[in-house]
Amino acid sequence: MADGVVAFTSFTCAELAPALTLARDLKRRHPEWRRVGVLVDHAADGLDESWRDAFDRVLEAGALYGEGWRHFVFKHDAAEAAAAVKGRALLALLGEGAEKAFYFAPEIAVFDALDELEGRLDAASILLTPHQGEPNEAAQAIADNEALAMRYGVYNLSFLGVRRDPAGLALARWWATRLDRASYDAGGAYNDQKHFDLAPALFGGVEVLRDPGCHVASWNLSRREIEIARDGRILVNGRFPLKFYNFANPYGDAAILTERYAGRRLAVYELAAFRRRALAACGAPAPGREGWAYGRFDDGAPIADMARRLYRRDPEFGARYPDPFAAGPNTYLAYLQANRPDLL
Amino acid sequence: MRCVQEPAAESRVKLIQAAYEAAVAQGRYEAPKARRAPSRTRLYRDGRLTLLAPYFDYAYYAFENPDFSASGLDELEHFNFFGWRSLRNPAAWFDTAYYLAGNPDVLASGDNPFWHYIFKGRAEGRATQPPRAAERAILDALVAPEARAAEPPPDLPRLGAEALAARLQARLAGAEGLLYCLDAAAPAAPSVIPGFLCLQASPLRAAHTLKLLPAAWSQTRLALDGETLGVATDAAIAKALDALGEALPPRRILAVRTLVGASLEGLLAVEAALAAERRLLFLDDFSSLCESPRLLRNDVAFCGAPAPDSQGCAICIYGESRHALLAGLERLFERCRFTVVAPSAETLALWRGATALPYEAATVIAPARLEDAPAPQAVAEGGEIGAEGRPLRVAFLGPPTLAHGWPTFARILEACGEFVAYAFHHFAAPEYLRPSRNLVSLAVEGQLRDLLIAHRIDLVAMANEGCEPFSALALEALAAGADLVTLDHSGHAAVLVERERRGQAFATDDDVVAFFTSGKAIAYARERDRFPRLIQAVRNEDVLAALIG
Repeated sequence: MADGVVAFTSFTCAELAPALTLARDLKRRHPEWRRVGVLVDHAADGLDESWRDAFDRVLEAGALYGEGWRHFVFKHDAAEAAAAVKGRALLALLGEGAEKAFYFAPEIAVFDALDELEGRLDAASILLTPHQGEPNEAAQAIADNEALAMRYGVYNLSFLGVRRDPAGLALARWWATRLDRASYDAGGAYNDQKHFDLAPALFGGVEVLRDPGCHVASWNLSRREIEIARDGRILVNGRFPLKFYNFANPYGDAAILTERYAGRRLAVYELAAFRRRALAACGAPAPGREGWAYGRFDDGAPIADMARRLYRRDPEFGARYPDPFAAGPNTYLAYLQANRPDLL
Repeated sequence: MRCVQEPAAESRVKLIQAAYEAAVAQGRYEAPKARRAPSRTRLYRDGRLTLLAPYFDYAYYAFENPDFSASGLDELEHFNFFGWRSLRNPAAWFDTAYYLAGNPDVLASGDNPFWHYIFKGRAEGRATQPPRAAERAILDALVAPEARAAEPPPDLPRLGAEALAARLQARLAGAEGLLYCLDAAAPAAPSVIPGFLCLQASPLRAAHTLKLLPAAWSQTRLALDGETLGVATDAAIAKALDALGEALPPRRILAVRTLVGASLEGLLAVEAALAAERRLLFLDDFSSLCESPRLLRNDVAFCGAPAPDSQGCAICIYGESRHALLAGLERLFERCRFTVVAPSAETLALWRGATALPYEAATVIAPARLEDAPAPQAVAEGGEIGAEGRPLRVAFLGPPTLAHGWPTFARILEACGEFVAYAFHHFAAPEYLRPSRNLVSLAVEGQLRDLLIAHRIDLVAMANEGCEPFSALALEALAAGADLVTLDHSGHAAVLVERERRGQAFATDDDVVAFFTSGKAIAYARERDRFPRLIQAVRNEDVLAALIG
């Protein structure tokens, strides 16, 4: 891979629409960046593959793990798996020569050029965006937003910027290692975020992006007022151009939080409506009816969450059944059928 | 206190504004408090309904749910037994589905949610409808202009080029000029220009402006001096004009009142065949800037026509097609070199600031103006405005749409409707009336100005979100002696407030609502009421006749 800036995202086929939309946003704003999609899924037979054209390259997540992939991915549900591969993907991209790498989750929409962020990685090694950029005042807002950050992590890892320098590479190695377990370890898909609370202490060159135009989301609308100026700029807190917005809310009901904190600020609802239209019109193929490729055993039987948890809780299962998806005699599935039919 | 001697109009409005500003600066205003006694005192066997009745909007419920009467129950009983369970609303300001969805405890209780709100939820500060409900309903239903359904073809004769040429030739003999006027619809009173025939062309709207249809496909409804001819394609119209050749009158004028629905290729073809001596482009709307003729981003917010590659355009339903529109406009303006005709200097300034399209000249001609009535009537009333028996009479005029400012008026009504200090009215064509509690709905038949005078309206709320270059309603309101409450970007209404100093213009809809809830509206009206009401007349100008004749 040529040197330069790489922007990557990770997704399953169920997230093709937001991933495709993100890739197009990035192409519009930064055609010079290389766009890499990390697919944590297998496209169903017959699925229109033209969506791949939105990316310069699509990495199959399994290629990052080699033989251990099926053993690894079995321990995750779809959301956990899409998060779990980010560290290894980053490490691989930096290892291939990318000078700067940005991760964007598919739920992010980019509204402006990100040259300033790219420039900041000339000085900083690591860019992080906090859930909250300034203190809340109302008790409800503290409970909704600051308490959330304390629970799930100070920084939101739907965005990350890393420069290929010693500190950046050290962080990538650390993250990839932690994600071998972190994505599910403490019972949630967002525990790698909690690990990142340590990042400013563990690594040099960490910059916390305090620009309120970066990473606006339902969890920080209490302190970010969005308006559309007469000159057509979308501004945050009166003067900061909106750079990117995260339309997800994995911690609760995005609609309720958005309404609670956007109130009568019409621009927020215009953005949400635009997002719905963009996803509907992006032309992404509908995922196959079979669902996530790693959501079923090889014989087609669905994998229950409890069966995953049992497998990852006891390392002996991993040693005994290195390919837990396999069906037939002497497999994890056979074990469950014989001993834990309640998990099937 | 009233002035015995009436000062000249100009000094009078200055006095009013100065006195109002002083009153506000000195805090001589207060939010209304006295509520009117409930108009409904129905008694029900179920005591809970009797308690709920004063809050229930019978007029709204009956209008929105005409099927209730078949049940044999009255409106409130119907709502209590059936209505809320099928998510019907007891008042315009209470969204039953929203309240139940946002309050799982109420849903689980199985209680009438309106009852819960009035006697519990209100004190707890629970919300009764989503913020920006009207705007969000529009946002949820947005359809890209190119995907909108085409207008069904009218039941009119189809005219080929030969037939059209024959119809025209029969009428053109002896005419000095031909005015080809492109407009959204044929006006009730076409321009009368001595020696000219007016060929009125109204595109059958295939949804969007300057649609990229070939001239042979774009269809236009034609009327000649008010007489409907039929429907012809633009290609047929151009061919007919070509065929007429020397038979065409020596003076030919192209007037484009709006580009909404027009076909670029069709218009260019007609323009070439007409070989007009003058080409006029009217700023009756802003269709020469954007597909949203009132510059409403996403149909909900005035945008001012920013650069097409702006973030605002990027998230607007009209943003994507605006690039193609502007490319078409460039071709059209390069070719036609229009004289741009604006109803006000402010409209022309907005247009000039938003485009670099080439044009031959620009002129400002107001389509109508206020003038002293032959015998001005001074209507005087006793009592102080805002006191019992002399409410501040506030009106909304026209269709209840966001573009006309209805959501803002509805908020004012919701916040102030119960106060004796106010009386609210809605004047509109019968199909636009939306009966509701604390609102007097009046069907407009005849002269609006006379109705406003008869009902002694003090203020007209015109918080038009879209920019309206010319508002006949605003002029009618002023002529009736009412003042305007509007938004800075509403267009003509704001221009009139600025020029005539008759009313108030605000930056946001929240400011408009606050004007009423704070009582400042009453303070303003009291200062205004120190002088006899000025009744005027609206004098219309035939702009085309003025330009051509």
